[in-house]
Amino acid sequence: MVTGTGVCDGIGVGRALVVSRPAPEIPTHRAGDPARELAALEDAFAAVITRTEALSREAGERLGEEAARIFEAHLALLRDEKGLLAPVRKRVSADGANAAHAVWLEMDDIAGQLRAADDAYLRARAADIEDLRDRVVLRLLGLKPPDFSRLPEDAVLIAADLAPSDAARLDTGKLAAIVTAQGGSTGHTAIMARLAGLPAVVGCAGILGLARDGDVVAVDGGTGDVCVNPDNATLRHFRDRQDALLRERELLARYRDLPAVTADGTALTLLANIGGPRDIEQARHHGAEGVGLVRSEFLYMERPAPPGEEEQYNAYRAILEGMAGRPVTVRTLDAGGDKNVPSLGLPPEANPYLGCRAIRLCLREPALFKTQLRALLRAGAHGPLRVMFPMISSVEELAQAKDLLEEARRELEERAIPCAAALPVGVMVELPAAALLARELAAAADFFSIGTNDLIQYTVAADRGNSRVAELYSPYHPAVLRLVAGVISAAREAGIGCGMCGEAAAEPALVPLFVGMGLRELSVSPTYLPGLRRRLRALRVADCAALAREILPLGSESEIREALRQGAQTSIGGQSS
Amino acid sequence: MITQTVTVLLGQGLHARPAARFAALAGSFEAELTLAYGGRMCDPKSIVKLLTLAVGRGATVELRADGPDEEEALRALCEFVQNPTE
Repeated sequence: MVTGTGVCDGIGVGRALVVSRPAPEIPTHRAGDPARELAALEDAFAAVITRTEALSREAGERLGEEAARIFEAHLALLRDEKGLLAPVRKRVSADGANAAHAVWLEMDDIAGQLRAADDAYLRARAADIEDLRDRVVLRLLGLKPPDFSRLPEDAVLIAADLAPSDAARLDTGKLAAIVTAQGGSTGHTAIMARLAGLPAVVGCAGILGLARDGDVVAVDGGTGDVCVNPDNATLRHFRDRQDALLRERELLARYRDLPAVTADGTALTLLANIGGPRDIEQARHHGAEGVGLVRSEFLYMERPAPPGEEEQYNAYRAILEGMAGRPVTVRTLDAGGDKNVPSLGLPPEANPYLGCRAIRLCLREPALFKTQLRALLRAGAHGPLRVMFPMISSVEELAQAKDLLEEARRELEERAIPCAAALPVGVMVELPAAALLARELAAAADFFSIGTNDLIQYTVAADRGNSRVAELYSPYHPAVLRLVAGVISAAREAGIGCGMCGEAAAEPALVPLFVGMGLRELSVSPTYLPGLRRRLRALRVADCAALAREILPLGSESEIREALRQGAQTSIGGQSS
Repeated sequence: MITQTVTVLLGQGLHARPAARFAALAGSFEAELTLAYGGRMCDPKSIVKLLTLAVGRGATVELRADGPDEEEALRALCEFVQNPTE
């Protein structure tokens, strides 16, 4: 068993097909007739350009637009007068190199510069240059590239690496999986594999020494595990994983577009939690009706200084546009404490969970906070945006935050910058203090969202990351459930919306209970959405309410778990529809 | 000749596909263009030169344009790099 970088989820089991691409021998003699070499260069480039245009069309038809665009970049390179063609010609006319040698030297040089880049994405682009280099050189030498058009059924392709033009020509329908020794998640093998939905592992250093033609190979494109000639137990493990993945995909296909309406006709709203614009695709793919939580910290990570207003505005706007008219709720900066964000330069604290983080930090750093608020107000002009403050502990704190939001709006007005007239403002209820003051907070907020993760931690005073107390962290704790019920109830009385964005919302056994308490909005990680949709459609609100009435008076977790188990065996969660 | 300093907000910096489109956009203008970054300069009409300059996300670059359509060129190129969804 060896491991590499899994770049496309899925399990593939088949027989190894090991391919190698022999490097052509480059003639190094001086050109006898430079004019002839230059003419040969022109022909070769023209031919490769034509072939690349064809590859682009084919890849586009088979794998979609993104695959075609890879070749657009190749075409731009092949037509680059100043950066490529002129220097190559110069090597022929000034240095006397023959055409193939000139191309080899120049393009190898460029590839070398890219390979030396700090950035992984750029290093992966060196492969593009090398692919083009090889193709032009092969053309000049009158040689043909390897043939990938006839592959045996259920082959697992094994190679040192695949050039982009090879990856595009693969008959992915016949392949079970691909494993390459080199390459990373931004390389072409990874991109093509994902577009074709083909399980793939790259950067698997040990594979070439391990697999020989005909060996049975099992590949897990999700974990990056590759097993050559697996024993029966291992093989069964891979097959089980394969079945589980297929079931997940079926679930997705069946339930994604069905409305989240209970069996007795109550509609719920299902949203996604996301950490940046790239999660939007996932959210939409899994049928999210909006975004219940944008963890805005992503904008502040991995950079030397915090993002400015313009950059934040563009990012929030991109999320709104990506969700195309569906509601988006952004949680303001929730950094500090255990969520370390170096760009903020915060001092270390002895007790980070109870320290200066989230809204406390923002209220202490109004300039930083208002930059985010201005960006949100501006983005709010482009779609249904809501703002949510994390870790609110009092009515005064909420009032202060709202004052700063109003200041930010006035600042924009003075600068005559278009922005939303008003943004709905919510409280992320995650402290026991907020849960107990739910009634007062509901009078001053437009909505609640219950952050069960931190609510549980603060209520039972246990760090879920500390193995010595982690078992105390439980969403089934009666104290937690009563707090949640109180929050939902206070929201309903005040006539404001109440959602839940913590992990408990995705816990199948608890969903009927929360629905029974009156919860009508859940925001979870996108992959949970189809399963949640199916669960909700099987519920009857009346039964859920009865369940809640039965469970809330219980004073111990074991009683609660038992009651939920029994509830699951009777009317709750009976048949799926 | 006019100059403008701008921060690159493209999701992956000026890499591969956006670089190709940026180079194509630059090539559509008559003006002579220069992109300066990290003490080095390049002609943004050449995709090879752009790639090897390795301009990442968050980088601040200086764009220079000299020619009849210099204002239009600068405006278009600055707008391009400031759009994080390109």
